[in-house]
Amino acid sequence: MNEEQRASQLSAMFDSELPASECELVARRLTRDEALSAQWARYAVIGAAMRREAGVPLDLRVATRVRRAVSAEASFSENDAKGGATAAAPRAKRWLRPAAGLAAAALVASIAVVGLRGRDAQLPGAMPGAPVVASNAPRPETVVLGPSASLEPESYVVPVSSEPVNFVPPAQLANYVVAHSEVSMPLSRRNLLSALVATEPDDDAAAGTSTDATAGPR
Amino acid sequence: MTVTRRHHWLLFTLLASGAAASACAADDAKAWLARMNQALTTRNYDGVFFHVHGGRVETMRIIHRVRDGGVSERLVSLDGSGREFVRTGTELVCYLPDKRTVLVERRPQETTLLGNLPRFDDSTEGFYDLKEVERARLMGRDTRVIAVLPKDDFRYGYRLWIDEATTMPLKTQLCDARGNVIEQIQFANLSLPRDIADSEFRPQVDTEGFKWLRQDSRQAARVASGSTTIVWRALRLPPGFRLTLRSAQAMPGSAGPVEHLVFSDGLASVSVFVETASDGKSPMTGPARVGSSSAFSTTVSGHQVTAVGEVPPETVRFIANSLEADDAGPAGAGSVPPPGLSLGAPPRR
Repeated sequence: MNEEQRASQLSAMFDSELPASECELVARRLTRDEALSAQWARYAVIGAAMRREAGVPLDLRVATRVRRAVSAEASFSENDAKGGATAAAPRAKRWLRPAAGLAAAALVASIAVVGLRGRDAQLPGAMPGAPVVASNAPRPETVVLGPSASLEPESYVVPVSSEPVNFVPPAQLANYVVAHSEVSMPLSRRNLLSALVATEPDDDAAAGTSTDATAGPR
Repeated sequence: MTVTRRHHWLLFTLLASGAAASACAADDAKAWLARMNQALTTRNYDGVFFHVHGGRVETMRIIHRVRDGGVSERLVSLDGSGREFVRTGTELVCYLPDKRTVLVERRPQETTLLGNLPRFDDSTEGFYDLKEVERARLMGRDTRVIAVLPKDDFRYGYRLWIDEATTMPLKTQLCDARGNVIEQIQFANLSLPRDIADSEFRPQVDTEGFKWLRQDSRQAARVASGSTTIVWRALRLPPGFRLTLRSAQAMPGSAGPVEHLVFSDGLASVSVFVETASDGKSPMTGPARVGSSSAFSTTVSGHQVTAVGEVPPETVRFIANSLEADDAGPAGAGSVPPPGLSLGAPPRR
């Protein structure tokens, strides 16, 4: 698979137009391929900018430039289509328009991403290739949560407690989380189980003991 | 009518229409929230999503099927830990390949799919503002953006991008009271098939040599016979929280029956688990976390008390520290469980 096909596949995944089976493959590849991961990060930043997404940290000037770049490209593509493009290659055309827009926007957004990575390096827990929606200083444009307009920077970091957080033996905590998920709102249930399934950065505590451990399934 | 009177009338009309519009928007948002919960619980779906938390991004796949009133669900990490959670009927299995451990729990047979869910009612509205913020395009689809805004620091809020056609949440953000995004889930791909094959719920984890933790059958029998001896209750609760459920259950890895109390404000819920401190195990104490969920453990009267919930750390600490053993009288911080909620076996004194 060449670069163009990979980009096309990634874009389809981003647009929710990729079959689930392929989606799983791309997702796995994302974890191995740094370039692809970076590309995904750029798409996410661009998408967020285009949607003026609340809560996603973006420099407003950069966001505006991204939107302008994309809208300029989009209108150009439409004009181009009127001026003589045929339906001979609809598949290619489907990709050309967003790709052209994304390419232009990527020039702008990559500056933001690169800039953000520099800042990520200062943030604990920052992960290469995952600055997508996770880093820079945000200011929601359309939604402001909470009773007061705070000037504190937003982040994807769980609020830091003043005291050290213990990591409960995972087996026992997992039991509790699973049991709790059963009595939670469906949305919370999914979040709880996702967190349980996800890797924790400090998830190397000893496994819990059991009074009924066996060597295999019954 | 004088000019002043006309101004007053105009002002009154504007205020009244503004209040009506605001109430209407809240009702709409509440309706979207209810429809979303219904869709998440009763629909078949299969999707890949990105879970963003603490600067980490993890790709996961969720498969959810409802057939003949029974739920099957599989949640798998496509990268990272490779962990899987599989629920088929009343059995919940958590595969932790990184720990070489499998947890198996059995739940009581469900009566209705939506029976025990917290409900967003009038009292809940005292602690959250619901707003339909805007209509937006996401993943090429029309969505309603709903904001659930907490009014204090005891609970989290949400921003939800709900697909208009299917009422499935395509993107969700968990936020604190200041609007900081704590966790985000966004689908990259989502389908809603008419049916899903049984094979999709088979785990991919090779469990050769794994340790299996499951409920002790003797313990389950004790729970079934209602042999809990102490009634636990919370002396104080954060505003809006009330006892909504109480049960005793057997848990894998626990020496005896575990008391499970649920406190909810109608949207957020906190579970408190109480079990006898094991002789061989040092009791858990202090705060802990799983993703955006907080936990806090303490020891009360020789029992380990752990509060868990998708709420700020202060809330679980507050509730865990408020728990006490009550040898006389009904439980629940002055609250009576609402009718229709299933209570566990009645405790003996």
